Amino acid sequence: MELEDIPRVIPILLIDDGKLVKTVSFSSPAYLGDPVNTVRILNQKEADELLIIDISATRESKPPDLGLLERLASEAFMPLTYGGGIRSAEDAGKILSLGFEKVAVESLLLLNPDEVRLASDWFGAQAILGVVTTTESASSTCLRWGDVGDTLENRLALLRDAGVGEVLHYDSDRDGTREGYNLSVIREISSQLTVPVIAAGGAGSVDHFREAVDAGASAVAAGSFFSQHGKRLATLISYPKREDLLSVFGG
Amino acid sequence: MAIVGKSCAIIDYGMGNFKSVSNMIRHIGFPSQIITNPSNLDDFSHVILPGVGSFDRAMELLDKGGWIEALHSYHQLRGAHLLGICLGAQLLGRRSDEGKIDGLGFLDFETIELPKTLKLPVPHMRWNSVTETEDTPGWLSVPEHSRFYFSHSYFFRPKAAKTYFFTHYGVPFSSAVGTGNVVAFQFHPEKSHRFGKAALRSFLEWN
Repeated sequence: MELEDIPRVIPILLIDDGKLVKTVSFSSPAYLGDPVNTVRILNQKEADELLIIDISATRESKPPDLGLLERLASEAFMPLTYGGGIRSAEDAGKILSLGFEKVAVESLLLLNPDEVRLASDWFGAQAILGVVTTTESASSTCLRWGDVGDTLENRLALLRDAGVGEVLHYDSDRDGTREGYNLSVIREISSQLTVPVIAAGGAGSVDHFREAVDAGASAVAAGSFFSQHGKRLATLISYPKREDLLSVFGG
Repeated sequence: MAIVGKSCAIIDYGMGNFKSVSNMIRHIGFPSQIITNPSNLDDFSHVILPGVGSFDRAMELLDKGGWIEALHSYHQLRGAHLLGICLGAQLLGRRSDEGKIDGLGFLDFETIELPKTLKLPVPHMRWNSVTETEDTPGWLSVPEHSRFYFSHSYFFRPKAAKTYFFTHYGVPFSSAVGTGNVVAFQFHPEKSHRFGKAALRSFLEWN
């Protein structure tokens, strides 16, 4: 493997009312800093891609903060994905036209899959990232959103029919734990889909990245891995050196 | 008619990534303008056709906006330089497996689907490297170990158009093609950090 062939390593930035935060299992947000400054730092570090999620837009049913997104895009010479509060193909179009490559959708897929299909037809499958959030019960993997009894298999069929170009699996139990990705679910999703799969939720080391790729993921994403360090979880935005990633992925 | 001065037009015909292209060119420091009207295309030394989405919808929008005729006229100008990016690049070819409508035909290539037998994830969505060929023109230069962001499901298959870069994804494919004053990049230079900046700067400094 060459330096330029390393799988994508994607920081996830969570926005809450315009501020950058970190959550554990998507709750108890802790303030991390200013998103525009963070994007600037990750741009200097030549991060592969960024995934920006506005948790307040989803929680409070607010539309995306287009002004903030425009400022973020003007600092980023790397691919950007945005998720949170997208209600229609038209919303998706507004975000893409600000300089984002992709929109991430999960609840829209459940509420109105036809809008996701429309967005895929208009802007191309590569512009639509479908998110699947799972949580573990004592005996099985459950979908976090949607109807009781909904299965992972059904959800993947829904994603396929909606024409998404990429799927992100997010294990909400592992979010912030740094114990590693949910490899069995990643293995199942990537064996059933032909589109690239991104693993998210639980990364604590570069070895976890390697495990996810070995399980079939095309790319890996993480939150606190890039932003909090040491026992006291001090905030420091970092991104692994390519040489270090090469030794992990290429070795 | 001759082009006066150097500046770059970024065509906004309603499909996508013109804003990121404009951000990167501003960062390079080259005069540029997003244009939504084809009537003044001939004033620019360089023209970029961006785009993401479906081939036929893009051709329909180009047609509706009066861009097809304007681009044909621009293509004939002495000193004109035309770059297509991603879908905008595919539109410069003759046809695509993705659509039924003919492309602009400035470059002699077809756009085809990646063979399913390769069993690789599609879209090809990742950073990847490029290799120069014996046909790579002198004006096009990028740093050693450059990597570029790719995000596409269809690929150039050149006929008379020359391959300027090729890239591996299961099989080698042409990731930049060109002829004369027209060039097509399959990757996204506007989203490829300093590597993409170098590729775009090459284009803008091409005389």
